[in-house]
Amino acid sequence: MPETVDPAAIVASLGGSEALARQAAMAFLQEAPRLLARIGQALAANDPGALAGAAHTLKSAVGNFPAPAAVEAAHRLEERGRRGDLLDAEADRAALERALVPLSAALATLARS
Amino acid sequence: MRAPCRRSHRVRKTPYNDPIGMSPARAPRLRLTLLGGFEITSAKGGPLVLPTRKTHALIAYLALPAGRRHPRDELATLLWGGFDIDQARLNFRQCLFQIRKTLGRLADHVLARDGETVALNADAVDIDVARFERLVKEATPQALTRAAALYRGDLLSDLVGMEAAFEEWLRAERGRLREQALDAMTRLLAHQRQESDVEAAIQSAVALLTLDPLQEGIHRALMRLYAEQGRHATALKQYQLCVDVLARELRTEPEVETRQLYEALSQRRLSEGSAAAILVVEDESVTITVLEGLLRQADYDVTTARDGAEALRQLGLRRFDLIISDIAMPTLDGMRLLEIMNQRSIDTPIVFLTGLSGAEMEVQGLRLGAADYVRKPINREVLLARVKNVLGRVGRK
Repeated sequence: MPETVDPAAIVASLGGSEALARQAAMAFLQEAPRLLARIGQALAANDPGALAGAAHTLKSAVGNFPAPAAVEAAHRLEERGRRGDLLDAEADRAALERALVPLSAALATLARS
Repeated sequence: MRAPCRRSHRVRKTPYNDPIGMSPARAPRLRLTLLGGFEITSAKGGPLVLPTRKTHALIAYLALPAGRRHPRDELATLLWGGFDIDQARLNFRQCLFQIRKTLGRLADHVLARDGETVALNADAVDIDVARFERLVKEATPQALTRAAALYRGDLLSDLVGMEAAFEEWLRAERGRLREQALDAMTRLLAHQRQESDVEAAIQSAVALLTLDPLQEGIHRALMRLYAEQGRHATALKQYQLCVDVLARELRTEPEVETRQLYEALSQRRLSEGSAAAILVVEDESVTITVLEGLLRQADYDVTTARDGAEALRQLGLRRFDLIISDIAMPTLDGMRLLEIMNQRSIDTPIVFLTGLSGAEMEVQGLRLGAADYVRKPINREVLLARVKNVLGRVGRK
């Protein structure tokens, strides 16, 4: 079951600054699709190094918000890339995308506020 | 004595090669803006929409200067030089028709036409370029202030991809007007500095750098002005902008005078106890945003670098009190950055950012001489406590 992400918790984690939360949300919403695309390309090209790099950066971006399930999903893909184990990695990618849905929704709310 | 208006009415009846529109001051029917992009409005208010780029180009060419008669064939080849002359003439006629249609009843006041030539009636149109040039020539501080405000951007900055002959003319006109703007703003800045009008001088210097960011003398002037206002961090940031633009555009470093000014301002800032300078080294955009935001909230002077190589360049250019660096980065990672800093005897303390599997990295970093580490996700209180702690160890707050 996907985790719930509360926009107020994101603001609180950033020192209570709504302006900073909005800036961070906008940066994430711009960056995440690009990183997911890079993960997809790495899997299509069977390139574990590129997968580890893109997943690490996405993990780093997600790690700025209280969304441990999404961080963990990105971490699993990063580790797969490091091990060179791309068998069934597609399932982990799908899990990452699912884990990002509630975070992205919360961040979109903040970005609009 | 005769009123001058009567003389001007006679001018209108002179042969074609005489200038058009030298009649006395009448209220203009149109306002034409060419600086910073094309815009035409009726004097009564509403904007007029001319449908094509060529109509904009033709009006602008006729407006610089207004009143000059141009042979139709000259205009046709200027704007449709790639076509044979018959097609160029046809296109020109259609273009002129589009303008007349848009202007409606104003067309006969604005355009002076005959079988051979076309001109724009100088009395009927208020042209920003003409006003700008008059004000620059007048050269009083008030006139220069108004001229600077009128120069909203380069001539027809929104017009691209035109015929070669028109582009050549446009390039020359843009350059000429830009030089006038630079000259006017430089004189205005000198006047404002003389009068100690610091706020206005800052605005002029910023406008000058928008026009030409490579003017190192203006960067220095701006640094001094910010420092006069007590805005030391902003003055030092201006130096950083100067460094960046010189590196990007000219692959060069600031002059000795600029660096000496920077050093002097840094020293003054230290002696006056202003905010500590922190270099954030991180390749991931969201973390940069968060770190920069949290540190600025706490009144630190923050500079960012995207990897270790850029961080080394920054460290060669100015002094920092603390570095906060990610470990895994492209080109040059955080560990290698610390190794090179050790080799070069750069003793700026460094705090590493570590992730989930960070324990091993934390130990390795501390062994190399890192002052501390902060785990992601970044907790604001932990970050600020550790930053304050490390800065305290080196005598900064």
